[in-house]
Amino acid sequence: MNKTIIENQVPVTVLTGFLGSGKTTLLNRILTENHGKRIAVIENEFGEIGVDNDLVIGAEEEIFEMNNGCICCTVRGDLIRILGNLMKRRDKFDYIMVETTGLADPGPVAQTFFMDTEMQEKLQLDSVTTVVDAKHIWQHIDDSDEACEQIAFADVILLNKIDLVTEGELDQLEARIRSMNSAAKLYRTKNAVVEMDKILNVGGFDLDRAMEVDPQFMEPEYPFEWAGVYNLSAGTHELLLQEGPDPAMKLALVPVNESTDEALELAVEPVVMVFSDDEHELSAGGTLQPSGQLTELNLTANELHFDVQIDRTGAYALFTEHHPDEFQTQLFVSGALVKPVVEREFKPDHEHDDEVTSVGITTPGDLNPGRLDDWIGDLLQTKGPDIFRMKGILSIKGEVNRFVFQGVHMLFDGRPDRPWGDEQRYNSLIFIGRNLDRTELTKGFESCLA
Amino acid sequence: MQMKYFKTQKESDPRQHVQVKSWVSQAFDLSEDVSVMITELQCTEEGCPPIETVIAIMVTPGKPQQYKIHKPLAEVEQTDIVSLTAG
Repeated sequence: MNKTIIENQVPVTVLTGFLGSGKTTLLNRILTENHGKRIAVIENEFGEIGVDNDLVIGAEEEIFEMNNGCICCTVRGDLIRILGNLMKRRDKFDYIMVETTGLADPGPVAQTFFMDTEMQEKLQLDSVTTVVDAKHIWQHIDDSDEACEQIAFADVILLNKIDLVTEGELDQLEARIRSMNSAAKLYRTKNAVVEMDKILNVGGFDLDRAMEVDPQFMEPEYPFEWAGVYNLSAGTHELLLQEGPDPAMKLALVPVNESTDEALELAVEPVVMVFSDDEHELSAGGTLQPSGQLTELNLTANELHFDVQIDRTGAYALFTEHHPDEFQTQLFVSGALVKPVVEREFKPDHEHDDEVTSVGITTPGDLNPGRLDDWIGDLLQTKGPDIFRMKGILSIKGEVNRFVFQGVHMLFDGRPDRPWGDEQRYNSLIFIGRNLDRTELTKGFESCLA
Repeated sequence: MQMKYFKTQKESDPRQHVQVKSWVSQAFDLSEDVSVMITELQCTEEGCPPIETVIAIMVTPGKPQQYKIHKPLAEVEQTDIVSLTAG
């Protein structure tokens, strides 16, 4: 793939991550590793770098809005000034790292590299790399816009401090991050130890890599996020939940033949039908039964305790609208906590109103450039603020070259790439953002096919 | 006029960019360390120029002066820049 790095362009890595995630540890590592690059650093948390480097420049976040009434974008004034002055010393370095504060919105930082024509010519945004504290990110992922946006904007994500969590917790976190940003490269790290070629010169906008089709795109969507099979004896058991991101959660408890993946699989389609029925509301203190009915737990009380009434010993599958960990769901049998014998996560068809998600579209065929222009113009104008990132490889009718593009909010940068040659022509694009309507985006894009 | 996001566009001439920045520095009598940012913004709304050139002069930290010229960068002339100083 042609990374579209023009000769003499300086690659730039933007490093984001919450305070304590290991961002500065990574930066110090990058500055001390023997990779042969002279790195200039622009840091917002000045003084944290423990390496003697006269190319470390402190910056104070200075955001301003460029607005012509229709297009609105925020950029970082401090970066424009610093980068402008830094480029006067171009012979002193061959790479730039921009470290943002833990609470920085990565949008204005990324947009800065798209705004000024001269800057676009001299600098190449190689990647936005985000360091995630695998243990503490759960405290922020649901209620911090910055944490969500740092994940959403990333081309590379380090799941750091993996020694502080279990493998299961990591898998769960990885699944959550993938649901927000399925295009990023994800690495699990301890003490931010990662090979330098995973961080430097990665060509985050190397679209061939970014657009490797995530199999999740092809998965069907379900009205539930999770299912687990439990072996339950006859009697009354206890289901305990904690307050979570939603005031209610739908679930269905159904008997299955045995506690195996196959038995769970057989229950999936019938339970999809159950989830299309009207729900029966159940408040705290109520009794849940394996009735094959859809139940909606009211989760607004202080004590979220429900009885589970089982008449016959056997295997039972619990299907839940949200992942049970979001509500710290626990099932107790005779006072002892029990875990599901088998469990499975599903790609949900529901999205919370402000949830950050990725929408990927892959389709063969050529595109009508006029219709595509109309569609993307309207999309950026109306949905630009919600679209954090977009990237794509397109097959435009009549063009021998692939067309590659990327965007940040309302800003768009596209260019012809290498010729298709003998390769089968296709279109592959991804949107990462808030309130994305998968059906609408897919329908809109497909209407541009020639 | 329709935007051409997906058509092969003529890349803007980097010399024009440098030239316009130089006209801005001259017209506003800027010192060498003042950064000037120039970009083209596109718009599809009716009544808007399809492409306009936006100039931000970063004199005071946090408060850039912004100017707009309702034409693409390639068509900007020195007189356009000089007229900004009158406003």
